[in-house]
Amino acid sequence: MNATILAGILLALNNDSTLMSLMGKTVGDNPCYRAQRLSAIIPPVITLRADPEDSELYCGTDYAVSTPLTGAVLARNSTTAQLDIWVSSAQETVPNTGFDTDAIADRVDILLLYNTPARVANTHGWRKVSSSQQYEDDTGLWHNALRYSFWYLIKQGYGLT
Amino acid sequence: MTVILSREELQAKIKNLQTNLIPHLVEKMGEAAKIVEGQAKKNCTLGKSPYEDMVFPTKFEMYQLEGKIRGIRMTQRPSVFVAYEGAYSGAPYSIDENRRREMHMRDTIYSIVDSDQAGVHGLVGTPVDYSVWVHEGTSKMWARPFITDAIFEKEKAIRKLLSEAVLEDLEEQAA
Repeated sequence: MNATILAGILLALNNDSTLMSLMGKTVGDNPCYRAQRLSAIIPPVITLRADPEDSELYCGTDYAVSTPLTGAVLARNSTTAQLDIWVSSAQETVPNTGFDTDAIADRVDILLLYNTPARVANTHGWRKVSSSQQYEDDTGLWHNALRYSFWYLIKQGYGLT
Repeated sequence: MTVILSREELQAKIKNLQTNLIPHLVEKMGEAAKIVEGQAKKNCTLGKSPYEDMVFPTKFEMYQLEGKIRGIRMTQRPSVFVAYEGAYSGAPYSIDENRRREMHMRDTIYSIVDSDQAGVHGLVGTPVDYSVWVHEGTSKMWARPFITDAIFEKEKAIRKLLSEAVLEDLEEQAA
């Protein structure tokens, strides 16, 4: 996924005071971050991971990225992002139940699916691919896995439009 | 040849279209579901899985500490080692020798077509209980959505097949 887009998604989530309140955090705590392979999960957090992405060239275009900068739209990238919400049932304060996790997921839906005003700049066509909830008996974690797909356009000169 | 229909005849034609479309859709949906099933199985095949490079070193170390490493063999990609239950490789594949005769999760992936009043649905899934953890991920293991990714991979083919169903029905009605 384009680094600017990924950062934009995390910014949209971390800057929302309602979402932070549901997670028992405040704006500035940044509990939404890109999934790291080796770091442990300290709930409540939301991790973001990019799934495979494809690109379609616009008619009359030979390359998805080219110079010089003239502003022409070159390609449409379609990507899928997975957001994982992690909530511990061992926590004494909310969120600590599956119901709380669902409430967080609902807020994430509002932030990403509605995208009005354009919370995640340069993206459009957001749709939810799937969502599920699991409870891990060994770790006591509630896990909501949300998958979204969306598009962004590549403008000549490597810019996004 | 131009045919002029009365209002009632047109209504009957349209109703016929809807009714006769279902068997065509069921047939093509079955083909589409088989295609997705094949891709999902491919996503779980060692050497072909797109998740092979998703290494989980924490799991490898855990198995090593528990003395459960039985053997290491090279895959087609020398940088990826396959150990106990495929713990090191990201592909959802097991090479446990004791389980060679048991059916692997990949072999249990199946597809069916269900038709009801709501529509025609193609379903691809597996009855194995741990498949949901593999598909959705856990706190110790990244998600490997082998079915969802298969649907996305074959989306164009699926749309083409379903469009063919509609076209066949229209051609039948026109004849």
